[in-house]
Amino acid sequence: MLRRIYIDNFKCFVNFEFAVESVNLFLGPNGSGKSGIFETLRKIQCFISGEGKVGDIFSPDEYTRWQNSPIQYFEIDVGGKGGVFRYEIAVEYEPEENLMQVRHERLWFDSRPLITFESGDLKLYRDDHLEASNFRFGRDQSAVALIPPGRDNRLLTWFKKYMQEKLIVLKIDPTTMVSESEQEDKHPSVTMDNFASWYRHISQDQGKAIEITNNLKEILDGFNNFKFAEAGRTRRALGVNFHDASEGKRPVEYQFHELSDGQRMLIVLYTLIYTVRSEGVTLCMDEPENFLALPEIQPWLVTLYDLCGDGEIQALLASHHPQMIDCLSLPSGYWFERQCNGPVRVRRITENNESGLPVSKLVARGWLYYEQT
Amino acid sequence: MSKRRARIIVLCEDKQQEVCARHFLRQCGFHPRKMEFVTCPKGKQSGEQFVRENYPSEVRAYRSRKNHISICLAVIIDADKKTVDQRFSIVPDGAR
Repeated sequence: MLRRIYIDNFKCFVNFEFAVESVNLFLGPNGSGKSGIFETLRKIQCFISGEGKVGDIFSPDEYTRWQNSPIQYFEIDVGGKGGVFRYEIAVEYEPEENLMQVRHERLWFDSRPLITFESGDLKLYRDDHLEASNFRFGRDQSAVALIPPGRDNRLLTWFKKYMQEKLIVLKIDPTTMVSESEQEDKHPSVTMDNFASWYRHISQDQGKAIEITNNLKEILDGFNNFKFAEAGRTRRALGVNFHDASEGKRPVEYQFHELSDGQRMLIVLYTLIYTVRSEGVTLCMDEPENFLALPEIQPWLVTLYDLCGDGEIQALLASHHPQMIDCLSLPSGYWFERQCNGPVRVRRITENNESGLPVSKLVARGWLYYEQT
Repeated sequence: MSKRRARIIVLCEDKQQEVCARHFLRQCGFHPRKMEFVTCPKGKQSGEQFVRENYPSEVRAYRSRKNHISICLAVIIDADKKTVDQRFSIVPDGAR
């Protein structure tokens, strides 16, 4: 699970440090850096997964405007394998060549090195932290991404797997979802536009598919089951069967894209948490309550909260919704703010509330940030 | 009219009072972003009862913040068939 995030010289983050708990709700005005955390995590994930070179993922436009340093620093701490991994990366911009380069990239386990890359020199260490090899390496890509799994680097492989598969960063947009799937996708995309392809992958596990279907039957009125129809040699179209209320139990089939935005959002949110439960996943979701009807928000949130409490999932959520705020802010809320367009500051929301008003009301009235002064 | 920096909370009986107060406060220099209205929802409850019931909690919230931030609390209630003094008498001494 994610333990700590450090960001320096990236957008409005300057020397920013955040200790991550099992449930984290980010609150704050527009432009206060809530989504920036998710963006940073996504960039680090893309970089470590080898989805692009450093110049494709990091941009000189994303340096903090009022800073002069050409170096951005990112660090994350991840708990796992009985210890704590620390991943550090510094990205440097060379204006003369208009080039983004890796200044250093390091991975530690319990403060002992697994991989270090500095000024073009790459050192690899075995799991027992003895140096395995040392060679020159390009400064335009992640060394962690290119090291294949082996018997001597199980710790490194575990960390890579966590970053690639267990860290899920989402900003779900049901308007982009389609019914057609060309192939199975192992991971959901950021907007979940590949839900049909992702569900095609999940449905290979019959037990999980049945569990999801049974849960959706209780949540969506009339929901019966998912169904894939052939739409080409490899192409499949995701359909959803509902009971026809007027004609008894006769099922009525809809294409997934024919459902309303809210219905698709509901299906996606519940499918997500029932799929990733028990897998030690870190879910980062920007405004997950969007498109949901009011009575649907709290039940989903409570389900997620219970799974987080049981240690099955870790959740980082950003929201402006009063139900989310009142439900989660006192045990798990963090207030993001920027004074005079300056760097992001974050404060934990405490229970010192003498006003008698719910936290959402305090936020709406602009009174919350005086709670901690 | 100069811009007012204070945030004002207005407790009122109905939409009509809210609209009236909004126009009045706009003329007094309050930006709409600095106004928040706590208005009785439409239904069976009387507006006067809503204001009377919510008055103590709004005063308590106001008092918990007034020393830290620039805020005001305005309460609008119809005198109806009573006099203004009689209407004031429903407010507890400690909450005036």
